[in-house]
Amino acid sequence: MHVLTWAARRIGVTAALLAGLLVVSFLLLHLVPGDPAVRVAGLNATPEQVTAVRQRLGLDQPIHRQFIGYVAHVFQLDFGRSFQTGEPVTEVIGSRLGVTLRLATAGIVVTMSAGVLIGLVMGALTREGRRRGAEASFALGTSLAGAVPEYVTGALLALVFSVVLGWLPVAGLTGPSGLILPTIAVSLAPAAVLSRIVRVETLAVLAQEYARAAWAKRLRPLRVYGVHVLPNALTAALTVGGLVFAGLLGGTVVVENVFALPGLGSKLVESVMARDYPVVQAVILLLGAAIVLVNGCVEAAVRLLDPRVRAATS
Amino acid sequence: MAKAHGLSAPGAYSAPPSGPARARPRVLASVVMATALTAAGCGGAGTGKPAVDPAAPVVVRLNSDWDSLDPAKTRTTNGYQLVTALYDRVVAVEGDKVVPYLAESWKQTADSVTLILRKGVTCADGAELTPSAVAASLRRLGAEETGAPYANLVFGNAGHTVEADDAARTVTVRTNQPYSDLLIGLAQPMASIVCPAGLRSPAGLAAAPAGSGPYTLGGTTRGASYTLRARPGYGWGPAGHTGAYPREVTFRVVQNDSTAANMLGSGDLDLGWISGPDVRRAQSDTSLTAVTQAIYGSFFLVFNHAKGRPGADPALRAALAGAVSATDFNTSAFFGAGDPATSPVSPEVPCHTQVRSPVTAVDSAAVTRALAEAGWILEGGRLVRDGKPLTIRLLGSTDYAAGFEYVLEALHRTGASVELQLVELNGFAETLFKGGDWDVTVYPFTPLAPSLGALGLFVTGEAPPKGANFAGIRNPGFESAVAKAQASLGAERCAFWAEAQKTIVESADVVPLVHLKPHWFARAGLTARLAGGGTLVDLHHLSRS
Repeated sequence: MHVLTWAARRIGVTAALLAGLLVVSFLLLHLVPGDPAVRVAGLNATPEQVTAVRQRLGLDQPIHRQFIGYVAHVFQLDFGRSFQTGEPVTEVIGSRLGVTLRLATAGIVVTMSAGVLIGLVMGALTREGRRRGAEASFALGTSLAGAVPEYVTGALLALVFSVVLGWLPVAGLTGPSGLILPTIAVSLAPAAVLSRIVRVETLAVLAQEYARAAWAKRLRPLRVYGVHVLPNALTAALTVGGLVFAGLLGGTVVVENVFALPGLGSKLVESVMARDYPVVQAVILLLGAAIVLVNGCVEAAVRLLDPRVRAATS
Repeated sequence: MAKAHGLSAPGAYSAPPSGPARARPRVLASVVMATALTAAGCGGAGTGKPAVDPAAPVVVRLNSDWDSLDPAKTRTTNGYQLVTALYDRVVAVEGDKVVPYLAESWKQTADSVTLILRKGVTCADGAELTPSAVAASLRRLGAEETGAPYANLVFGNAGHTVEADDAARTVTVRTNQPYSDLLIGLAQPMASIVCPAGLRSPAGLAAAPAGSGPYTLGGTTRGASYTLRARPGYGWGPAGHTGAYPREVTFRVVQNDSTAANMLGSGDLDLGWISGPDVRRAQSDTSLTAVTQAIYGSFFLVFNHAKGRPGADPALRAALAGAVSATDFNTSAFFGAGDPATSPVSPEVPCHTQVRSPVTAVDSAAVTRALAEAGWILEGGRLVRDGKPLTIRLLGSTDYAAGFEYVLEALHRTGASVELQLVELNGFAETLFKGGDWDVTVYPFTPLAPSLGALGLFVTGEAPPKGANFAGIRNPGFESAVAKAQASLGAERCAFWAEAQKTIVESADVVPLVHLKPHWFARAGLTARLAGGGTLVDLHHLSRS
């Protein structure tokens, strides 16, 4: 398949996913119990006031018209106003996006670098059945780290490094140091999972003939791992990285709450509790779109880096 | 006239996103009861923890972000917390007494209050706050187009008028029916006085305050922190209070109780409300002083009286009321942070009367007998009457879900078939006040003022969707006693309120379970008072020693 054909298909799939996301976020308002017009007008509102609000929001229109209007507004980046505060949703998101972006970026960088590095090192150390003890410790450690929920990790980190040792801020984003514990909390589990995958992939690559040939040629270990093993193991890491990113965004929702960070995650929780549907819709749409786009990019990167994938998709 | 429900406002309860122990009255502000939360000098010494810097800003926890800074529109305790610092009111409540504030004195009848306002009060923009301006603010609160959700907690339900006389420096509020709670109503946060600049552009009040209060809004990081700066020259606090105000008070939004407890321990917070299991951790920290005050109301069991509902039968209500233990509900919902309730209002409220011995241990045999007397017989472990099983739809809020799970279990043990519907707080309020499908619930009645009057607003009058009597209670004895109490100002008033409490509880229309006690913790060196039934910090009495 020609690269342009592949790219067109990929863009088509991404567009379809985004369209599905639009439908889901639109239906959110209509599928949840209760009347959104009552929510906006207030519980004390008279039936006339509720009717007026329904008309103002266009909720009295046929559903297909509402959907068309919704899509048109989304394309203009107009998500309406928060039911709770009356602020434009774009302002609400704008004021919180930076925090989540910083946390997610730091999280993905730490996850990918720690996961790949640890997985590669452990693969090298435990190749051909060597160092059984280290392998068992690694398996146990990564299982534990991968199983502990982010809020537990976050709480423990805060207790040890902030309350007991006093090295880092307990909460808030008063400076770069405020990002250290949240980043670790959000990265620990995905990094553990990723390192296991990279280790297995490393072992598989080391078992390949070209790797054996590299050793036989007495190439320096750094060259063997850097040139022959890493690029091949990285394909799996990248593929999993896309999924990790989705999980990591979910993790930020919890971690922002634990560390009192004013990001999209904490706003999402708050808005769900307050039935602030416009904000919930917009945040879900934004996070969902980020996941779809990142996975699309990951797929493109994997195709670019791995000739086997290129061959399989041609 | 807008009607209040006690739920997402003065009277409502809310909790952080997860877990039963997180429950806390979010709204319900009442006004300034000021139980002294005196943390000063208690603890801290020798703990090895950092002492409070007397010149540093005081940092106070907000358990969630505010919804609006418009006194008439906010529905949350967090909104009221800032409103009470940015705005003044005509009167205030200290202890259980109404004290002067913007009004130097007043004359009260059963259906009117004439306030004589002090001179020299200025708004934050420098404009003079005249009686006409005060009256305009109160008129706006009561106007239908304002859509103030809790205006009736101030003025009652019968309509009112507001007049001003600038020459005599008076403002007179008259209600169309006797409403002796009017004066205390005017002390509540929603009755905060908005300055003329704010009234000219009311839409802006949501985020841009226009008050005459002791603080102005300084730095703001939405969703994270809000810094208030003391106004130089402010000297018209409640009861003539002119004490030193901290130069700066920062409210930090911390939703998670464990995080807040950590921040108190590390000194990142000076004062904060903690709930759930973290209370025990904070209590064991010797650098912190705990301050608790019961809410003015209670969490009470209430049945839907609508025709065809099981709760329409008084005998069945009384029987089932005996099946729910106040002690077990308190443990399940609040980790035991409250006291078993003996009345719909707490002992801090004037005219409180102990009218019920709380059920601390369920007498199953007595419950079965009472159910049999009501015609419900156990057959094969299920309660039936005339061949029909007893099925109950229990409405619960996720804010104290474990409490509702206990009620589910308790009612199930009687042989009833019980279905629990757990929804978040707004959905809970919507189901109740829009005539949704429910048979029984535990209602978080948490008024912001030490007044029995708020109770009457929720258990008398029309049922939803027309009124706020969400359970459709018809209790002529209670209504009569409330009407007499609201028409009285003398010593006989408490006798009428006692009769009202007795009538509403003995008929099992309202079954008080728990008076929750919010737990606040302050770092050593900080002196503060609580207001709003323990739900708010009174910034007029916040200082470092």
